[in-house]
Amino acid sequence: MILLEELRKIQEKHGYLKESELMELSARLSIPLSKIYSTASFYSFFCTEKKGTHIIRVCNNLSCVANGYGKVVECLEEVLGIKPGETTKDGMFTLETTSCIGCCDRPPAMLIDGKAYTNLDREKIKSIISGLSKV
Amino acid sequence: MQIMTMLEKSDIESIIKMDSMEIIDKLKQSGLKGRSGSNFSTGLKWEMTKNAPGKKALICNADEGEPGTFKDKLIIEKNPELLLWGIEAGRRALDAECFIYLRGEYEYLRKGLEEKIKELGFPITVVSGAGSYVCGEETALMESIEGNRGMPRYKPPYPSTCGLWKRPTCINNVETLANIPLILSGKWKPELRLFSLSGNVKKPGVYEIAAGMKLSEIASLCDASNPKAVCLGYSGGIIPYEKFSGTQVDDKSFSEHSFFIGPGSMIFLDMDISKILLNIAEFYVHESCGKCIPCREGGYRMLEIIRKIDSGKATKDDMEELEELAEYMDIAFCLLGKSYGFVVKSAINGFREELESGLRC
Repeated sequence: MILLEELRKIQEKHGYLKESELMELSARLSIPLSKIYSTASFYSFFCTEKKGTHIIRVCNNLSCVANGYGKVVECLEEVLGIKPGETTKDGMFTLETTSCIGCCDRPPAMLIDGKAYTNLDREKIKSIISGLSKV
Repeated sequence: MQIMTMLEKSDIESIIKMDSMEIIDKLKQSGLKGRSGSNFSTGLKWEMTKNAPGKKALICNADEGEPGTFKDKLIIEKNPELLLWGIEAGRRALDAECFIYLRGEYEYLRKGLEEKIKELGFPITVVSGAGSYVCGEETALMESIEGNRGMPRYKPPYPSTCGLWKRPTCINNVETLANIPLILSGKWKPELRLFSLSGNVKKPGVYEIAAGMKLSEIASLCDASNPKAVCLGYSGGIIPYEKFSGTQVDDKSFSEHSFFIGPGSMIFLDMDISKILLNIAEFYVHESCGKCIPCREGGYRMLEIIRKIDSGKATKDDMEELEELAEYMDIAFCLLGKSYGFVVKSAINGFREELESGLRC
């Protein structure tokens, strides 16, 4: 049994690490809940509180910064009406920044729900967001 | 590209025929060294693990977190078979249980990778990381697989005797493992290695480059428009381009100038050095695991001073304090904190004039 994998499955199911699921996991694996929380809270990609349906993570490292990271964040702030670290009122989107996602050959880049979107510009961002808003 | 070689039936047959000793001997003779930046002899690592008593583990480190690095992703995406045969050779040589620790940022590659593993029928467990840079450090990675916070362990004992779940463990980077089937089938060209080139360049990408090329030649390969600085990832140092454009890019000539090729990432930049430094400092403060005081506290103090430098509010005293702190970072517990201090020193050494020109009296 690998705890990280169990946590990933819970997060995939609920979008975050739901406490009731963690308690169940704790009982099933005989690992104290506090220990599970200790592990989960270490990792940027695990969240113990409910976030938006779609989590946007914009890469903020140098290859992206040199190629328009600032404009990407600006555009997302404008389209979503939130700042990094915030979630839209309708609960659809959470905006975050993240360390390098390894898409430096196609910058600027971001991950949405774990999928990579690259070579971003205003039009592309707007169409990605409107595509996700409809679903 | 050598790394895109498709293995032929005869290559695979020759790997299958080899016994454990033969595989390890071939690796040792080849002189292959870790391509993650460790530069440690792969054959020796395998031999040490094999000779340690107990059930073995082999981990493929696919936690490619060094900013500006994306060569392992290319292998996982475009030629996973080569990587998987490298792991399989390790499993045969060491009689080990095999794992791939895939960084959380590459979650979208997991499905394809797992399908390939299934197709080949190899017993390999994939574990996904969850967005932690320090987990690329071998012992932090093992902590992570074991279900703990990704904090590095004290060494010794080294993983080859006491690693994952206290088993003798061999941990190799993706590119390193992908080179192994080429070595075993006699197709390997040792002088070639992968470089991830990005930044203010027109042709970013992964390039397979032979040792001995000049920095300026690499810059023109990717069409770097007007580089001022070249960041060797975030941990290998910051090169003032003009001064070193004629320098040969190999481990020996780079280390003479205190630069480290590491996993082969070069970010060509035409930006203010204070902005570069600020981005790197924010990265390290975010990624510090908080275990040791130099990194947790010293790292933050350095960031504060770098913010002041960037906003033109720093004095000469601040600059001196920054240099002193950067020196102290050498006592950090793991390479993360040490690298942070090293990169700050490298920026100051290479760009002192520019950094000091913005100081207040």
